Amino acid sequence: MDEETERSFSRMAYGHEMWISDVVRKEGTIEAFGLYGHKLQPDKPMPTDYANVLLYDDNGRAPNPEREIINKPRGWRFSFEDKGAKVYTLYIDSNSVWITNDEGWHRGVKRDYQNVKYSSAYNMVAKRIISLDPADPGNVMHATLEIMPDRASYKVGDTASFRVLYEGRPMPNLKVVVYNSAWQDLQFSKTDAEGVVKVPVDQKGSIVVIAKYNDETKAVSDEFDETGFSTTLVVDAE
Amino acid sequence: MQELIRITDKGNHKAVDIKGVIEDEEAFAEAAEYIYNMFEREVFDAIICVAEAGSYFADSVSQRMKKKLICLWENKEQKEQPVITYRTHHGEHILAAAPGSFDGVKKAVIITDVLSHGKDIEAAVKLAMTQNVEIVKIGVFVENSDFDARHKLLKGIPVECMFFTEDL
Repeated sequence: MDEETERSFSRMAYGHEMWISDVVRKEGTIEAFGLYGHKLQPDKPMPTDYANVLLYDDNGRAPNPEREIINKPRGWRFSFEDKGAKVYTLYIDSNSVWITNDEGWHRGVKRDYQNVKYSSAYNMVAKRIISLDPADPGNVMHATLEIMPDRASYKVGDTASFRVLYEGRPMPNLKVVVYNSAWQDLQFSKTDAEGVVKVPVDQKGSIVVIAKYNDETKAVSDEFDETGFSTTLVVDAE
Repeated sequence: MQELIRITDKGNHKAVDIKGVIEDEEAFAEAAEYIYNMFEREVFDAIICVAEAGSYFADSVSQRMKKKLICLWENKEQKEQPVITYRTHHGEHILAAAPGSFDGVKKAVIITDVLSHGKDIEAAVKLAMTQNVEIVKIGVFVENSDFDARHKLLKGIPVECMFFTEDL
């Protein structure tokens, strides 16, 4: 196994995804759940400093939702008052630095550890669009690595289209992970020349799109060697 | 494990007795693992516990993560150390920390065996704040839902529990 493959597998084994799952509207409040785990299976609440939840409405940034750790599902519940916006866009935006050395993975920067083999800053983002009109995904793009769908939700038989952008520019030929909660396994796909990946919607459920990109130019010599960006978008398929 | 936790009715609220879990090696190990996982990826310098609210799991996580343990206890005598006063229906309480125990600590978590009325834990949060220590998260083995301390007294600080009394 080559070094890069080994490193990727290692990250997959230890690394988690975070995503925003079900959205519930009740009594003038909207609730959404921020989860952390693999393949839509939460295993524990994401760390407190990961759970930075941000909200946009039709007029831009709205007050941050309230957050609470709950047991069912095991994760974070975010809630905010529904003031009638056509489109809400909810993000979890986290930054952390991890290193590996002989003893395994640690949170922290290179200078604080001996024999560091690998170090990276991670910008992990989860995105969810909550729209009154399934055809209108809004236009909010907050993350450095963004995923923008062509609709807010889909129906079985549709072909979902997702544009992946890095620092506002389309990302061609980027590996993207796609998962439907009704599927058994993850599927790997690549964006086209326009940074777009298309996904046939063959079953009802939640469609999860995960884009990852490592930028080796974003490094700090005594802290981390690169910055890994990971963004997860969840959309509903009905 | 749930069958080892005794819930008794005290009229207007329930009381929680976790002695059965503490005395059962396997059950305690399972609970300690769960609570360890609440903090495994958090960034903090020390663990705070309140002796009267139970420190078994705080001690366990502290040893496993090699983190400093700051144990607060009721002490009406000594006032030369960090203390804070709070009231319950039993009267006034003084919660104290050993001198210098917060030195070098910027971020801490609180771990408690049982969260009931929560006034002791609220006092622990306030005492930490007087020492310029941020409480990142509160971890609880059993949270007594009757008191709803997480919303009434601890709002703004994430509270994670393994069990709510309503689930037992």
